[in-house]
Amino acid sequence: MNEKRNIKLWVKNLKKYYPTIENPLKKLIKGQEYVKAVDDISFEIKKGEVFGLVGESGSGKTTVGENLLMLQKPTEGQLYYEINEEIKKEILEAEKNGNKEKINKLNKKHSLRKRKNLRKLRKDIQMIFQDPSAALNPSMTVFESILHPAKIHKIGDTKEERKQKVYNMMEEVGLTPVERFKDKYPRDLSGGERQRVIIARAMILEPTFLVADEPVAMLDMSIRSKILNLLMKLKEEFGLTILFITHDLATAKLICNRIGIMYLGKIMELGKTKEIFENPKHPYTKSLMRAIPRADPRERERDKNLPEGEIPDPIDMPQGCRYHPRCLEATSKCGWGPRDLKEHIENNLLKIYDEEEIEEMEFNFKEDKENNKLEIHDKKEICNYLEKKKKEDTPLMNAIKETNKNQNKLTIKFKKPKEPKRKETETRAACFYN
Amino acid sequence: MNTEQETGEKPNISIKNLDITYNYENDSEEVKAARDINLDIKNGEIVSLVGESGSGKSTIGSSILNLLPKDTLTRGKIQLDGKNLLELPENDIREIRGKDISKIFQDPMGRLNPLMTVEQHFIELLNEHTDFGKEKAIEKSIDALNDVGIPPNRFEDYPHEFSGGMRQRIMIALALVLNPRILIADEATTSLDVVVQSQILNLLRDVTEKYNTSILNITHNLGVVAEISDRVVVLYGGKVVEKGSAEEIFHKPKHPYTKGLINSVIGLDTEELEWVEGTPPDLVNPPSGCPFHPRCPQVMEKCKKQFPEQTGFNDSHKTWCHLYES
Amino acid sequence: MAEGRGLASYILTRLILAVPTVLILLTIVFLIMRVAPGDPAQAMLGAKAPPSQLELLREHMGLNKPLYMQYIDYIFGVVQGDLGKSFQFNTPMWELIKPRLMATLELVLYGFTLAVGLGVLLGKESAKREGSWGDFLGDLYGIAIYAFPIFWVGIMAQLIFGIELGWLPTSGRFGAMAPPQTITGLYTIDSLLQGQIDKFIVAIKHLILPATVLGVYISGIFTRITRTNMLQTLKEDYIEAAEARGIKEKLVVNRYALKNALLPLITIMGLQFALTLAGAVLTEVTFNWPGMADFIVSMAIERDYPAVQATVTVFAILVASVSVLIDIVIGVLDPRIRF
Ligand SMILES: Nc1ncnc2c1ncn2[C@@H]1O[C@H](COP(=O)(O)OP(=O)(O)OP(=O)(O)O)[C@@H](O)[C@H]1O
Ligand SMILES: Nc1ncnc2c1ncn2[C@@H]1O[C@H](COP(=O)(O)OP(=O)(O)OP(=O)(O)O)[C@@H](O)[C@H]1O
Ligand code: SF4
Ligand SMILES: [Mg+2]
Ligand SMILES: [Mg+2]
Repeated sequence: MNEKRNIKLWVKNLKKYYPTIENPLKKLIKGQEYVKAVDDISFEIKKGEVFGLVGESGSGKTTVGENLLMLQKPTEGQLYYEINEEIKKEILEAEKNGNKEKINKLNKKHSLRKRKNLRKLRKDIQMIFQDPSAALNPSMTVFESILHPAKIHKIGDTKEERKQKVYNMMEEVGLTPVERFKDKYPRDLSGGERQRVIIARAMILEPTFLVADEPVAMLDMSIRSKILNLLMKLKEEFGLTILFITHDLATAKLICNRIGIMYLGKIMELGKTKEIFENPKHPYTKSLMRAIPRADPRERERDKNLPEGEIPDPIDMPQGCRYHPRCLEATSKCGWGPRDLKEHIENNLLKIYDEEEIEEMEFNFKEDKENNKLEIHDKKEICNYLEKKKKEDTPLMNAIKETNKNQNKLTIKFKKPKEPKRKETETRAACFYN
Repeated sequence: MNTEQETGEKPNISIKNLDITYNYENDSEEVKAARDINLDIKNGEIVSLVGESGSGKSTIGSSILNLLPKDTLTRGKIQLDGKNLLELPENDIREIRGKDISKIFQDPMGRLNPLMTVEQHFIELLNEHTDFGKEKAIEKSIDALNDVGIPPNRFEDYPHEFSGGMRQRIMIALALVLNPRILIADEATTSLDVVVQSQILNLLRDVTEKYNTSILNITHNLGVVAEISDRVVVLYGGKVVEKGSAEEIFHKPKHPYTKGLINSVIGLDTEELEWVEGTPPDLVNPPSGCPFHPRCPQVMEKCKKQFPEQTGFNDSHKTWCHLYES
Repeated sequence: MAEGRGLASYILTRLILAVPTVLILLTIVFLIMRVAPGDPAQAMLGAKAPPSQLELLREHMGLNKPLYMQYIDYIFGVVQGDLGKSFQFNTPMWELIKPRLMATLELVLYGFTLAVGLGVLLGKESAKREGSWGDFLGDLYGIAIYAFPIFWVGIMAQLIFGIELGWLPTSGRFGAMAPPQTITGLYTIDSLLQGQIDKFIVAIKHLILPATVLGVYISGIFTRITRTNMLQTLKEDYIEAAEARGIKEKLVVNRYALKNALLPLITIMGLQFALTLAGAVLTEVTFNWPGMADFIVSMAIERDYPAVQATVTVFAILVASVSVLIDIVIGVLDPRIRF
């Protein structure tokens, strides 16, 4: 192994879009829509590091994991395996100069997207799947499930040796007494027992890179600690590199060297674990930190200050900063637009009038995404409401650039939205203010 | 032996002397997954069941709905409205399932029919138990999905198009849409981020207040347990070893296993991993006496021979350990 | 972003992918017909034919062109629906084959439907009662039926229902009456379309024995496949979850278990179709059914190479189309594979 290849994996501008199924007519009019499960993310994992990926449910963590192993085909982006700063620089340079030939050459050598490279690494890179039941073959016993990959990848020289390896692995993950568990089928196991079969199945191949998607979520605190300890031991002794996907921030804090916080397909913040926990920068990270459940009923009533509103639709992402509609620290700059205003008006008028009355008013909202403006029928109720609201100093109102009135029509124009970017060198968080 | 009618309030559901043995009288080894379980849940109460992986928590949860495999022996009583659910004919229990008692399963991924959209799942459920028209059924379903944060425009999507946590939320919405009297939540919030988890926990709290729903909450996440439980029951090797209010279990744990469990919790201030030494008990040949004795740091001679009697510290806090027997 | 785009594009991709499949099949047919038997002209005229006559025939059949030209002629011909001309009759092949093809299709259609219906029903009921006597009988049926030679079953059926009881005709496709005017070429459908009930009854009567024999024969394998798949699906987590929601057993079995179990079944059905055709060949011979099998045999005896080649071509295209059709059906049923 090349000692100097200290970057285990460089994920570069990875995108994964899932096309949504819709009726063809709508598709013709609106064009194909996509769930932007992973929307242009980049990060690197150093050799021997535990890199944590935490964040919102549905933000694309599993998708990232599965794309790294090429279990799914990325829509765009590259995955470079076992490289170093120099190679990275070369790639960036070639890209800057538009040197296609050179890029192709480098990809051929280092990219996981090339089947030839991947094939050699099938044993090296393993995944612990989030859902143990779906990942296990229902007609294979525990023993067979763990043995199967070992057989395929020719681990151990003799049958006897392989068998011993399986038994050791089962003991290691606490599937004991081995005799009792080895012939059981997945459906006769408890949730945590299934999860441990998955762990054993991945670990028996002695991978050097492990994608662990919620590997311990179904284990009790004690076994969880034991398994994490095992992973840490492998990391220390053999330099195992781990991408650790989890919702459990306390565990992430304990075992990850660095973490990335995901929200709606983007990494919102990335940095050293210690720094992120001591001094979270992104408002979403802060919300997460406040929401961590404490194993102490006395802290039940503490103020968690949960983010507002509903989780946006990944098909029709909010403009500007995608977190702005729920952000507790958002300002006028964060990307407010016609949709926010429309929702705001609807929600607030609902407090004054009932649904039927509102329907009668016939606002005829017309969103113009291109020019970032909203047209409404010029109604007394709305004008009054907006006049009043404007005096309050809220980010949404401050984001309005101009308001025009003509021919029964009210046109409200917003400032052009911009998306905050996370620059690896300058800031850790994808937020305008940090 | 030990009932918990201390407060005198009538429980919503009551489990008495429940024994569950898998593979009863078939070719495989018998697994004694639950032994002599007693547990009451009052109206509007949230009781958490915690314990080692493989200690029988899900087994107890499934037995309430009569969902265990055919060759499983269940002895004892599970009483709802004076009826023993274990003895109810298939047709009657089916009417209760999904309507009076609903369950959120531990692993949400494979729990939705891959060939049906989310909408079809809801419509089917509502058709089965209500006579809402299609319109009302859709309205109800969308409300339920809204409560768990799934946008309505994904109503017609197929299960594989959702993330793990979203499927879990769909399962929660399916379990709550009919306002059941009892909800069995088996790791209901494990695949959720902490923000959504908080919101769901609030939702569950609201449901207990609004509809007086009782919740049996099964989880390993002691943070969640601390956040929402009224009472906590600790299980080890198929046996209840301690029960008490959340405050009592977290701040005054008595049983050595409970202490070990609370100790292994990974919190934000944890610096080193800790666990209970030893291996989980074999449920085919459970240890004699106290099931925890092979791993217990305070084991005594009599622990190996005799299962301890109940020791009560007050109305709610009980443990089964020889250390406390007078 | 060049991923699939939902159902419509899935179907389109399948159709486009079918083109090379068919092409490969046709190439194989061509090669076998050209390479394997030596010189067709020689074979047709016999060893002692005078060279001049041979030459004439070769020219007539295009055999004196270079091989690649013959290949191109053949492929382009097929694309345009031109299967060549019969050596004996000098009529376009398609006109000769079409009625035969329709006869075979009619037999296969009824036989296959019966096989699927019977197989799925028995398999489902067996799986529902796993381990019971009913299950055992169902399983036995699956094995036993498959073990009997089809022509023996056919002959027995002829003896019993045709000769002993005299209920049904034992051979042919239609009696002495003039068959219905051709619309689709399927007698049962054509007669109905023209409102000729009497002709319909005659057609059905002729169909019952061969179609049942064929259907029952292949239903054995369907029973077994349905049963195995159902048993596996009944153990899935979503089945338990549906039960926990109080969904009626009937619905759980039909909507959840059966539908999910049918997916692999349909795939296998596609593969099985070729087998059905083979079964049909035997059935046709036994019942004297004027279908493709009958035709190809008599053409082979006459050494009419163009005719044999054309028939094989039609078979190949038929099998390829069915496999595309099956793919599309699966795509419609299973949302997971559309991408
Ligand atoms: N096959 C698919 N087709 C369409 N959309 C999909 C598909 N798989 C995932 N998605 C969508 O992609 C997004 C990201 O899903 P992913 O499973 O990666 O989330 P996650 O971060 O792992 O969430 P969780 O923590 O809940 O497991 C979600 O909005 C999900 O609905
Ligand atoms: N169908 C079955 N046949 C035989 N043994 C079973 C069956 N189902 C579960 N078991 C065994 O019964 C014990 C209890 O299982 P159960 O699923 O109740 O555990 P659990 O407490 O929910 O664990 P987890 O926290 O890991 O989900 C386990 O040891 C398991 O192996
Ligand atoms: S009864 Fe004995 S072995 Fe069991 S927990 Fe108490 S002290 Fe330990
Ligand atoms: Mg996930
Ligand atoms: Mg469980």
